[in-house]
Amino acid sequence: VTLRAKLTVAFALFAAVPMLLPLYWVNRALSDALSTEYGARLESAARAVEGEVRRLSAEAAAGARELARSPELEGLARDRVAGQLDVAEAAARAKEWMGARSLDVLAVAEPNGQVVSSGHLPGRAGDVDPELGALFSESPPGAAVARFVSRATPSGVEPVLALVAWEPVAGDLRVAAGIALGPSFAERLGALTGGDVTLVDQGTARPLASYPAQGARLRAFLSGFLRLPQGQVRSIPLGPLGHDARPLAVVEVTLSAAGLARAETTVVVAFLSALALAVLAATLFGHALAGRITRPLEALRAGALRVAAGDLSRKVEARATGEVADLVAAFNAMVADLASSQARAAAAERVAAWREVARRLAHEIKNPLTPIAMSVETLRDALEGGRPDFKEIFDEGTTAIQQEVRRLKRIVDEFSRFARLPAPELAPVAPEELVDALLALYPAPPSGIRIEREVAPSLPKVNVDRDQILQLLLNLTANGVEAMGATGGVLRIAAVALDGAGAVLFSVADTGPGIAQDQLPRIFEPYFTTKEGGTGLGLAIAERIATEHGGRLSVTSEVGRGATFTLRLPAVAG
Amino acid sequence: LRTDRSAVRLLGLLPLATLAALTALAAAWPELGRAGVRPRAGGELLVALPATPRQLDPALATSAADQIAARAVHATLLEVDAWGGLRPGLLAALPEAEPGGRAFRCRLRPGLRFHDGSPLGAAEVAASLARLLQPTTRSPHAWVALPIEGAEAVRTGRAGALSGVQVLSPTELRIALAVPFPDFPRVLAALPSAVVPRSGGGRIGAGPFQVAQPSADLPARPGAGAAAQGALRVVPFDGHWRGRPYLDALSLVGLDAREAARTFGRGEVLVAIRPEPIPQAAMLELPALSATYASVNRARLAGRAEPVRRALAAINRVELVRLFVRGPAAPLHGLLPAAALGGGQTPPSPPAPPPSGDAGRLTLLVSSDAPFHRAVADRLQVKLFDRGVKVAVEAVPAEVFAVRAQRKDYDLALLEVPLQTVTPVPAALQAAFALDGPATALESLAALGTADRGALPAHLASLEERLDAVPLFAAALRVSARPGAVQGLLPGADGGIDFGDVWLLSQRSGNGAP
Repeated sequence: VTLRAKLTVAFALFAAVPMLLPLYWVNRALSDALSTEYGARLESAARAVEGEVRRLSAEAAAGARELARSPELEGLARDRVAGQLDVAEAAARAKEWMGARSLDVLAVAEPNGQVVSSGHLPGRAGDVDPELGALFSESPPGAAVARFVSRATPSGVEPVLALVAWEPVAGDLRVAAGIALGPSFAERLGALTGGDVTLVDQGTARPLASYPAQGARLRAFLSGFLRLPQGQVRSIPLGPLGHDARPLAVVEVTLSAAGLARAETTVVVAFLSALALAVLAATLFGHALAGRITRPLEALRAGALRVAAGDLSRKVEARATGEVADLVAAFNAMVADLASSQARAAAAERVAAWREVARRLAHEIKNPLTPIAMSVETLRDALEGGRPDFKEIFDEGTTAIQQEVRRLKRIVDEFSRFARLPAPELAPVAPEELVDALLALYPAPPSGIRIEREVAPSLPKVNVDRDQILQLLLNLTANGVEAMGATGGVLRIAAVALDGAGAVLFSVADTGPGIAQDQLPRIFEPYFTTKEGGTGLGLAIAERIATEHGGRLSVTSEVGRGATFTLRLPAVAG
Repeated sequence: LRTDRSAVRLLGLLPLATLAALTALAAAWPELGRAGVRPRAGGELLVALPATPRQLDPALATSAADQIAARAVHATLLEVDAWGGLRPGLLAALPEAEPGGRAFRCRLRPGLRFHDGSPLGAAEVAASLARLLQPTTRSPHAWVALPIEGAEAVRTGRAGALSGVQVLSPTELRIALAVPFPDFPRVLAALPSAVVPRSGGGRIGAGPFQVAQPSADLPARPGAGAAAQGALRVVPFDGHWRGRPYLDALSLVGLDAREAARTFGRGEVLVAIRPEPIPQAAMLELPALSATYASVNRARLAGRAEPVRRALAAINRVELVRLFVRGPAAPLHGLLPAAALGGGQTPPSPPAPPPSGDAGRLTLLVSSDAPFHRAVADRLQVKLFDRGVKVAVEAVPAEVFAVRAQRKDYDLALLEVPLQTVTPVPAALQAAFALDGPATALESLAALGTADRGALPAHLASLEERLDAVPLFAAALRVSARPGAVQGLLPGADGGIDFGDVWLLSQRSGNGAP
């Protein structure tokens, strides 16, 4: 992360933090105010639920009271006392009465719960119904209580929560009447409270009915998944408290918290918008300011990178003041000093190199001069002494002088070649063609020497000066053949692909005596030779050709087992 | 039925018990046996029934009201007298059994005719028997002709006529059976075996009354009481083999219990045939032959069937009948009611063990038109619930119920089988056919047909096990007659009332008009 980026972020943070703190306090104050209003609505909903439960309780009690005094029930009781009751006919009567009075629970039973007629569970007639027995023994007459009652429904006998009241009837009978607290009850409460209503069995924690009934589970899942605001739940107990101090069931009312959430969201969105604008402005300003501060430093950094890459030619140009301006000036001065030091060192190095070349050249030239001088002196002495064999001496002397002069000429030619090697003219050439051209020069190798060709198929072309590379390979081949000499051997010329065909490796390997380990580091130095009469410039020229082609020439050898010269050349891309 | 030795002893006492019951009946039904009073012809009788008859075809009539009306319009080859004996009807004499009990020769009375004047001969008898089996008829009473040779071919539509019925002459025929069945003549006394013409849709027969023209479905004649509105009105058939009936007209109307009691009190209705008693009426209970079974569909319930069956078997039927069946009824402790065993009472089944395993939630199919079945279904629902089996009651119209019952499209169903005979083997044949189809019925007949009376209880118990039906109760109707108004209402032992024998003591119409 650049200094400029860090400075920009710092500016943005300085703008954001002071704005975020008031957002928290304002939002909290607003939330408190809205929650108070929401709580009042919830309380009102709870009162509405309690009022509806009281109304239904009164309705159930009135139903029981009206039935207890009805002529139908009095007639049934009278027939029963007189022993004229058709029990099968009586068993079905409660169902008729229940339907006519819009009740959900209706049963006529003896005090112990033995059912004479049941409307909500007609098949129970004749049996002792423990639910009715418990109602008669635990609850006073005339007051409705919430109870679970087994009731015949289209899907079978199921427990339903109902507000049930009972009244005594003449003939030692009792009538129980009730109103079920089911889906229609939940729907009515939903309409009264304007919220979601769920009736929950406290014994099993199972929802008995809910409003809205359709998709309640899906809505709950989605609001949980989407983290939508959840309304508060107000639980209103139903029925007497049990042994565990819990009511039989509860009505859970949930009022929508959408308004509350909407107000909070509006405030938060307004604050966040202002925050976003402030941060944006701070970022733009900070970016510009940081640019002014960091531009000279970035120029210095770029200059340092250039120096590290070896470019000492350019100065750092940056408008700056104060310490940064001093730093730029000091850097430029340091780079200038470094450049002049390097120039001086290079010049000294060149002088030393040429001095070495001159020393070696002088040494090479000095060697033939001695025989020439001795021959000239011998001839002069023979001539002055009038030697009779002057003619023989003359021939011998001049022959020696000629030989040494030729040797001197060869030394001068080689040096001239080394000094004036032309720049390579590159063109794509197939490695196979290079090897074939090389072998054409040795159609009949010397006796005892066998030349083997190993060229891998489908090699990429190399970008080379064909003549210079051929000269290099010829030099290596000649050296190998010469090294094996009369003992003979095998010269293996090979070409293979390297680096996923990013390069081609040529190798010339002989089975001659090899090169001593201490000579290997110097083998490419000019005027270093191990051969009698060698100039010591062949391999130096070869190494220079390889370098000028972007390649590399190297050697490995083991004394007694031959030497291998390898030339690595970059392949033509594509 | 499982205590075979006790059952054998009881069955042996059947004739004696029947005689004693009928003697008691005659004493309690003074109008029946008033000696020295000459029957009078004339007058119109209005009879209140549980429903107004709609189906007069004997091959299709199943409800009590339809069967009462069909008996008035149609005639059977044989009849059952009040003492349970057979007597000739359309036949000139009782059928002659050939050795082995597999073939019977029948001879018709001469000169028999249908209401439309067409002759009634042996060919019509053969056609009527085949009609019961033909797939197009869809008769629930195909069991009647099932024992006859060639029944399967006719039933499956591969043949039009029964190969076992040979028409020997216009009045003679030979009926060959697929299995030995000595009690086959009892089947020929059952209402579904009544002879019908080859065309007529079942409304034309050879019984004592014929459907009035214009149709009895039209409003009753002017002057008739309000109760007669919509009644089925039939008029005497002069060509009946016993001669013209006494009544000038017979109207059959469906009234509920309260309306029946009210019209009876006003004198509009002189006879009511309903389950409930009617105050100030002379009453007679018909034999309880309408057996109701809880059928368990094992094919659908698989492993749940057995726990449910055991739970059903454990239900207290005496209590069930007392509390939920209105009218005369008797708990069923075996496949057949006592009336179908000739008057003997079968020993109760041993108490069933409590059910084990989870039967899950099931549906109990019940016909919404069958009297008391909804109340009985409610009781079964509660008792099964007490035993951990949750059952939903599904009440459907009778037509839908019949189709679904035939396809066995139910988990549990309350099936009512109005048994047509008072003899065990034919009754078992009918029950097996109704509860499990023709294959089981034929197999049961093969086992029961020639079984001696001692082995009968064991065979019936075995059949009950196989049918996957728990017998619940057998219900009956009550005949309530206005004292001093009607004569000749004595039913046969099979519960059939021949209105051709009924006459009014005073010459006034049964609907209250002078």
